[in-house]
Amino acid sequence: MTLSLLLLIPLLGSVIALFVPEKAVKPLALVITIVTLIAAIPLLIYFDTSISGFQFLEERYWIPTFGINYIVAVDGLSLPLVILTVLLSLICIIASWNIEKHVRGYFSLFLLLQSAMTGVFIALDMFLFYVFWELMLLPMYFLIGIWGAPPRVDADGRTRGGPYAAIKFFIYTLIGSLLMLVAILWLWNQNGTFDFRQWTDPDRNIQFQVILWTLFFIAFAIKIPMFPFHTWLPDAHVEAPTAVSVVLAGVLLKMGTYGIIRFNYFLFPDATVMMAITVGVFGVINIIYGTLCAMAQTDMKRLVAYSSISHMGYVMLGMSAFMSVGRGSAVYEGLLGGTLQMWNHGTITAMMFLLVGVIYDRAHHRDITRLGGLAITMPIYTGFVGLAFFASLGLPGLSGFIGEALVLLGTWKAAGIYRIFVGIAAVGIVITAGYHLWLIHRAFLGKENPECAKLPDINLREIITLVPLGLIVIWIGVYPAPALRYISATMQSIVDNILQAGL
Amino acid sequence: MYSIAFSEISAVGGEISLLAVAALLLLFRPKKPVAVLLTLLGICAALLLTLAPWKNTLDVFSGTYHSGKLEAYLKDIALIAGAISLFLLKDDKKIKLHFSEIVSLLIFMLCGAMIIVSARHLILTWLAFELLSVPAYALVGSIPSSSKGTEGGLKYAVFGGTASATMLYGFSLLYGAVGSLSYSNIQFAFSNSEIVSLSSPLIIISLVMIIVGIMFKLSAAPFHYWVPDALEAASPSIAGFISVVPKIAGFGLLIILNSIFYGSAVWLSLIYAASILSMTFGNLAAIHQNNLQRLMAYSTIAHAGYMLAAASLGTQYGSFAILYYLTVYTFMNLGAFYIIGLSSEHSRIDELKGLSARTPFLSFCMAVILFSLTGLPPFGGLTGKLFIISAALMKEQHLLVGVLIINSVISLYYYARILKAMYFEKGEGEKIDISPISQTVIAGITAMLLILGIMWQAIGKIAEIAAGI
Repeated sequence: MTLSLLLLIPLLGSVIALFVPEKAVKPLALVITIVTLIAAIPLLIYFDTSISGFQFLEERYWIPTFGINYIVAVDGLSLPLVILTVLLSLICIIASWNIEKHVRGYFSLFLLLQSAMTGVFIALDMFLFYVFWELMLLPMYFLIGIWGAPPRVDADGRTRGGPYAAIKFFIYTLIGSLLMLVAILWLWNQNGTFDFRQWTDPDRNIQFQVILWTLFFIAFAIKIPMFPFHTWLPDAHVEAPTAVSVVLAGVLLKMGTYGIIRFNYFLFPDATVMMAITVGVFGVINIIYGTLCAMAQTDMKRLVAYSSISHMGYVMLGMSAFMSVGRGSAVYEGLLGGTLQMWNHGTITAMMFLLVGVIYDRAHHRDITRLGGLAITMPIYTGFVGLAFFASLGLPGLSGFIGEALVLLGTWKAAGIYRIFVGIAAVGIVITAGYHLWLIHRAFLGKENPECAKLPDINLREIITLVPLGLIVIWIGVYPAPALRYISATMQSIVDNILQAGL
Repeated sequence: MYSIAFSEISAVGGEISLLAVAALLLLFRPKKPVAVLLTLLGICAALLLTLAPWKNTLDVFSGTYHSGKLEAYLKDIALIAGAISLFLLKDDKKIKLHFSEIVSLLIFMLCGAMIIVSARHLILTWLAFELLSVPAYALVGSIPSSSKGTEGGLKYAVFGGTASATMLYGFSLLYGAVGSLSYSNIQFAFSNSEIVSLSSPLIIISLVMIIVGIMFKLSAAPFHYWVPDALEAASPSIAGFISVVPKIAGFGLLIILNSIFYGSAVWLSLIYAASILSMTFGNLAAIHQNNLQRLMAYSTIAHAGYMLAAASLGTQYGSFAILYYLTVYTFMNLGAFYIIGLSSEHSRIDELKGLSARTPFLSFCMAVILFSLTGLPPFGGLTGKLFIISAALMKEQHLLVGVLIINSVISLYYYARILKAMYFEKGEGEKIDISPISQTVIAGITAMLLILGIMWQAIGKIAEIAAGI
């Protein structure tokens, strides 16, 4: 029942939010998200870390004649992401406290979004999964479109603004999801059930596997977003309100990598072995491309958006390195690091977007060239920025380092061409450090910019949103063992499963 | 002497009760409330009476009239569509003619649709076809103050006349080849290659001509040119009705004829071509429309294309997909036209600007309908598409699936334009007062789309039975 509660409480909240007085909406949303977080605690306590399979399994009939059932469960892959969703939703509600426009609609949609995001991570029935996957788009579309930046045309004559970014995001994702729908229906026709655990077939024709693998992969790659499907991301991030950027980067991007590990790796092991290097290549491209683009940005939010692309590249690189080239022996570190990196990116980027939101609320712009010397005017703020940015660039002792180190370790172990990937990724790390430090240098150090000399420092509400994330970042950076314990059994079984069935 | 048995009457009970209402309306010309009540009574009676043959199939009037599960299913959707349109028609201020006359035309169309799906004799089919078409021409032209009404009506009449003449010629050629007008004889002939050769020019020409007539009714490309004009000219209440009921009849006929002609490659490939053309053309043309009714007209062409995709397979599962999609389509389309009728004077997209601030209820329901039209969960549109795609995958029609997918994405773009106007843009205008009846109907349609999207066990099962799976 625990998992269903995580779905039902926000869903119920989103309905109630429409009918309560406008003043009560924010407290209601806060209570709902806090209750959901409390409801998620039993998951952490009673999760058996020695079991690799699904736990907290719930199965109910839904539309049995068509093989559709309500099946939800978590394993070591989805548990961290579910916790991340619940946690970030609470933080986003606090971060949205200054929303004044159509308050009811905003919080109602946000709670609906939370329910849908949780659903994506826990659904085992593919029809249910698809419903949640698309359901997530609807609130997202409105949240970016209505509460995002107003429509305008920028200096280069390009359309910008919330409505444009919203439809771009919507269309990109829809293309991918429809391709996935074809693959899902194909497998449904063969098996007569939507339960993906019953879709495994060791004798499946390799060509057929590759086609289905690709259909799934494109859907997820758009979500990651993988180069060359990434162009919706900077727009969506820049135009979205702060809290929406936080869930977008923190949770939605993870759905791409989650989907690949959950479905592609599990259903099509042979194709996965064949395509592993391709995934790795795209991961490396993401790393380098993201960092180079981030380097060129003067808009702080756009910079963080591109840094997301580069960080998701590490996840892809890590999860592609599941066996050593040639000898075919298992490598666990890559996948372990990739999954940890998903969680780390979720917390670190969430912090970064919250911090960008803080400066935008005060200065009403995010242009790095028009900031300067913020360390003097906003010392506490600068402290948090330091923590988040150093975690993002991979400073040892903070969580970003552990994830990236594990990824690179696993990739190195995979040998062969993967060693070249490690080399390129290392170059990426240097550039990453470069643009992070350059941003701090331009905006926070040096001479005070008179334009932003009078900005008030970060307030208590904003500190409350940042502190839990900051603590997690430091904790995982110093002592990652408990976090890794939750995921390692599942990762091992995923790798073993591929190698057993694989070529 | 031929005597009519009771069972034969019960097979046409629904049609008789509707015609009785039409006769009463024309004879006594009652005031609006009475007319509405009378028509509703007639439709309810017809709904119940058409369900009578659900248990045992009736084959009456020397085998020319057939009432079974498939027919009952199609008739009932048409009747529900009629009831919904009636509610919108009631509040339509643009109609200057006597209300009873307009409603009786509507009833005649319903009768035509019901007879088409039951007819098992080509002459009867053709007569019912005309009964469905002729009142439609008059309905489109029934806004005398607008010149567009006349133009749209005339265009519709000219196109429609040509199409039915073509179809009639096709029937006569078929008669020449087979020697009988009864479906059962034709079916027998088509299943024996000694009697009829599927590749003979006579058969091919007659099948092509029959397809043309049906495609016209289904508003499928390349016979769609009347659709935007007619649907723009008509008032929304009527536009919704004529975009739905002829399609129900047309697809019903197509399902029945499929069971006879499924062996003919020409027949199926013509439907296939029309499907791809309709989807692609309808969606591309809809992108730049600023008139909501024109936009919806192109969208109905696209949706006809989706259903034709299932029809082109010639399988029973395909028929089931059509039946299910028709049900969803009926609610989506009527709902969209209903809201357009309530919320705008001239059906321009601009008029919907800021609707979410003015009338949140209408904009919310419209959003649900638009998401359903796009095919997003958890609404009925997705389930409908799901069945069509899986039917196509069963026959390994990958190109068809690909085109359908790409078109779904394109359709999002223009449906989102409406959403954008309603939610993202500011507009002037007053709050719209909606009568409690309209509110109930719209809420019902919205709820129905949700049910068709997540709780479709029961309806899916009924559609499966109706399709004979």
